[in-house]
Amino acid sequence: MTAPYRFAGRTAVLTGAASGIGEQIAYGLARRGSHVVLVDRDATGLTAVADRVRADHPALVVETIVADLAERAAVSAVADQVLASHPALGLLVNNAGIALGGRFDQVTIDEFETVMNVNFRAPMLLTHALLPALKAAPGSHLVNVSSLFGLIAPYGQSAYSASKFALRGLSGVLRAELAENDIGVTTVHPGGIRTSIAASALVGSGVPASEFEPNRRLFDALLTFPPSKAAEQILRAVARRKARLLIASSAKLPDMLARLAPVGHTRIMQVLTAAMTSRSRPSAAPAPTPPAAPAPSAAPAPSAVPVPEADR
Amino acid sequence: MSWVDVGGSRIRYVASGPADAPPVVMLHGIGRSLEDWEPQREFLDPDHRVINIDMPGLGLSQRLTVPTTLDSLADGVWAILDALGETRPAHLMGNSLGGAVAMRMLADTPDRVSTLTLANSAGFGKEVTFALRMLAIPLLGRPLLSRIDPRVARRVERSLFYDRCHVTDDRVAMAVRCGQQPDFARVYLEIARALGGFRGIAARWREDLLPRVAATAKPTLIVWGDRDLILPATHLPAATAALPHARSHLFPDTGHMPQLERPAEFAALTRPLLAEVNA
Repeated sequence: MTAPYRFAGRTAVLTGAASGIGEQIAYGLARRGSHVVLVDRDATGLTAVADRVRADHPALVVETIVADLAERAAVSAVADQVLASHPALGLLVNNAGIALGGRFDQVTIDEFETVMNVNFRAPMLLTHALLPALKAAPGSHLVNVSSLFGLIAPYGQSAYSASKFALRGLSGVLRAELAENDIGVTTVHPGGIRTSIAASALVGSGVPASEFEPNRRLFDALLTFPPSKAAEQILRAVARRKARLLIASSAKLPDMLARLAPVGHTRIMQVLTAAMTSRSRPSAAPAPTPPAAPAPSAAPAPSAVPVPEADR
Repeated sequence: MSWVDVGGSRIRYVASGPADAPPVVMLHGIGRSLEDWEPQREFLDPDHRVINIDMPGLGLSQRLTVPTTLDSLADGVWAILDALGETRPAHLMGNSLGGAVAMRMLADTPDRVSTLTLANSAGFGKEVTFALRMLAIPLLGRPLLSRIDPRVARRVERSLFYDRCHVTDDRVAMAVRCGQQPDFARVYLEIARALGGFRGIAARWREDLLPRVAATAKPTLIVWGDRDLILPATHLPAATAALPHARSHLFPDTGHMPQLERPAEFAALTRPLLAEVNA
């Protein structure tokens, strides 16, 4: 895979397009001359994004599909609808994702599975279904948005981390396999991107409300990297056919730490995160989590949450 | 083809369409001629007054007495329109250097501009083909431009298009004819050196011009060809960032002149833009 990906005139399918990184990827694709099929569960947000793309780029074909990717049948329906009008696709961006707050013993199996279904099963199903269309276009490309938590596995992120590790694994295998078809694959690991993922995270049924809200706000404050910059980095990585992209120092430093200290990094991250959050919110109530406490959070994402609010 | 005398210089232009219809003014690139815009005429002249100009000192038009700069070209085009009795607000369309001239005209006299259409326009980045940067080297520019024979002209034409079917004998012959104009090399070097140097297109005039263009907030369309070898398509994101009110399009498999290489698709973008203001 050496030839750069050319966006202009080709069609891209993008999930989680109504907000966050996905919304910015939609604008970036349009600026590069790509026709887009935008998928999200949030119909209002999706329409707003699509309308803006159409106004700024009247020559592009902009389609929207409202679907909850947590449902297996909904994913199949998305694939069918895409294939009906697009026998050949240039790009598939599996970006949609959701978060879930709570210790493993505080979340139900249903809640755990919902996260797995949106973050892992949906990309797996969609990629499998759209692969013929990707193979039909020479030099097409696949993007899977994993997470920092597809690289490290912090406290309180059992479902999210499991889903993102799974997606990373699948993505790596596809990179190797699809090279034979001249299809590039990029696995993205965003750090703390300024999206609504924390605000819209699911909460484990067993998490006491008094514990969750302060932590949600706390970790929301760690999401600082602008999604527009994240989207630009992703699209540049696609153009260059990069295998792996880490976004923001909040992803790069933990990744480095995890390699230097394959076991110890968990503890170090907890301490660092607690220290950072207590400093970054001077006006807030005292940090609910003491720095040395082993449990940083029941919140969606201790040090950073990567994917946008996304659809399911 | 017609001629008009502007301040003692003989200017070539082609005009068609109803005299009372909204005027469209087309401006070509450096070293080029009005032929670059002619494929757009049929799409616009049923309901527009289409005025396509050889800018002063370029194409087959004679040069102005003043040195050729962005300012003098912009003033020159306004003077040409005055001479033609066309003082109504016009839809400006510019390709390459012509885009920069159109932006300058808009920034200086926004009341006379209806819309702005920029095709692979200069002004949004420093990167430019090495061939143009070489002209800035002392003693090198003049000899490089002094013999535009059919072989050289064909090579230049090839660099302009993605699809070489557009490199026709007519186009090569016209390029040779432009290159034989007495002031061709002098004007070419004046404007090339006014806008940049060996390190590329200078930042100062761009940084001065773009905020003023953005401040007018005139309806604007910016297009590029993704295979442009003269001004790279990477300038398009910079352009939409500098002019956030603009709509844009990147044409696939298209070179430096989308108005010529993608005539129908190009017109499908400009016509709605013009119609919004005409209404």
